[in-house]
Amino acid sequence: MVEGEYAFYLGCITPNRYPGIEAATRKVFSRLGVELRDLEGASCCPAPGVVGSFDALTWLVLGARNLSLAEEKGLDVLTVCSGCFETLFEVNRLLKEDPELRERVNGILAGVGRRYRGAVEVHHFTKVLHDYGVEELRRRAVRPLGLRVAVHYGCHLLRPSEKKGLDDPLAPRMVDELVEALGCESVDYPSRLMCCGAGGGVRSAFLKYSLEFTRKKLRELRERGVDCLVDVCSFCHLQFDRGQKEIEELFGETFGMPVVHYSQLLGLALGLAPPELGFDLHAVSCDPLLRKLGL
Amino acid sequence: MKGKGLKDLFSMQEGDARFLEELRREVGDQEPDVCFQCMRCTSGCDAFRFQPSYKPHQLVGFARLGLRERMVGSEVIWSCTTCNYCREVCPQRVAPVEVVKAARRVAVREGRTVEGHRRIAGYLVQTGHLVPVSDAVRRQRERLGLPGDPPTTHAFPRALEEVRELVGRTGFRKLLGGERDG
Repeated sequence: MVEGEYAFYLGCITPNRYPGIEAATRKVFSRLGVELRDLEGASCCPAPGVVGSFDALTWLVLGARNLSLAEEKGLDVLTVCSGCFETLFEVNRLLKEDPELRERVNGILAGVGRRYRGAVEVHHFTKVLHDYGVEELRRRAVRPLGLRVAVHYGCHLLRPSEKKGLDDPLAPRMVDELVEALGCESVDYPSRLMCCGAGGGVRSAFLKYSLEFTRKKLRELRERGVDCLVDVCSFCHLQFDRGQKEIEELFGETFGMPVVHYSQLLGLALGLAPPELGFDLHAVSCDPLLRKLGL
Repeated sequence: MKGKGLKDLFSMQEGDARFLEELRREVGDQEPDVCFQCMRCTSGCDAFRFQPSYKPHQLVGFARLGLRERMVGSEVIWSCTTCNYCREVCPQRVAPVEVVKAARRVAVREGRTVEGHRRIAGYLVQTGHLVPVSDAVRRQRERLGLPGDPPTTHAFPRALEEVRELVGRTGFRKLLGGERDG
């Protein structure tokens, strides 16, 4: 495996709803000297809670196809969405552990001339950055941010911890350390480890119910007066950003809470300009946050 | 999940041994039989907080008894956001979330889908993405210096053909009517 080089798996929400996250990720990794290569022709991961709830074989086969694209390049996979991370990580693990299942999946992939070999690993970008080094990030942060932020870990980065083993699932520190490296204070709140409400096909089936989760978290953040929420998953990002507009329509409650993906926060700290990172493309204005930074 | 189903004393429904078999195939390496109904999953479940009829321990109990209708016949199984909390805290390593996902797959095979899911499944079959790009986002991408179509199935028609062929071979196209919905 080539060090400092990854296959950048895009998924759906990142390129097709929040291209600012894609642009930010490409730019920050380039600044850190890590190469991201396109995974040409990748599809939806497919989404673990939705397609995984429809048909297990389809979930495995499409996941294995995406992994086979990275295998062709001989590169480990990097994701910026925890849903994609869950699917690609789990499909990879299940197929590596179960030769019989792997043969069944490969029997179907053979129909399009592909084969899954189990030759690469799947990484969430926060883990890659944490391994890169919190101190190194601190050293490179030319624009210390000094913000009070609320970290949203989401569900599929850490759980099930028995399989992923990235951090303590009930008292994680990994992402807190990443925001602290950029001169931010990570503000604690009761529902810190709670779900955003979007997963499992719930957002597409029962929008109002899914927003109950989102609203509970946003209320706690408002009480604590944080400058923004920091997420590490494009789907959570969509639920919190676009979800605030939907909450306004469905519940008549306004929060005006800026929602920032960690790739964008890191981009600011590395000295990139907000429009390069897509800050102007959010449903909820990030202007109050950017004004505080003098941007 | 061994043995045949028992009678549910609340609904007086009989357990369905065929359903037990079907669930057992779907649920993989999970073993709902060892659940002792401690309710640790339900007590910390965020879905239960907002939808009190969704109780993971109860659904695992239904699975053990083979009570098909209490699971696949109820829309409540679709309330789970698959946050994996129940799986994390279960002292018996049951993973209620996997039992619920297994029941959903049985329901989907019987054509019992929820409004909204058929539509996004159609997007997957037609574009390779559950959430495809739009013209507005193409313009945003170009302004950011990215190609309008991302380097996915959107930019590679042959890759999309591969995906469509695969979802045909797995039976997904037939299962969720992606053809008709597209």
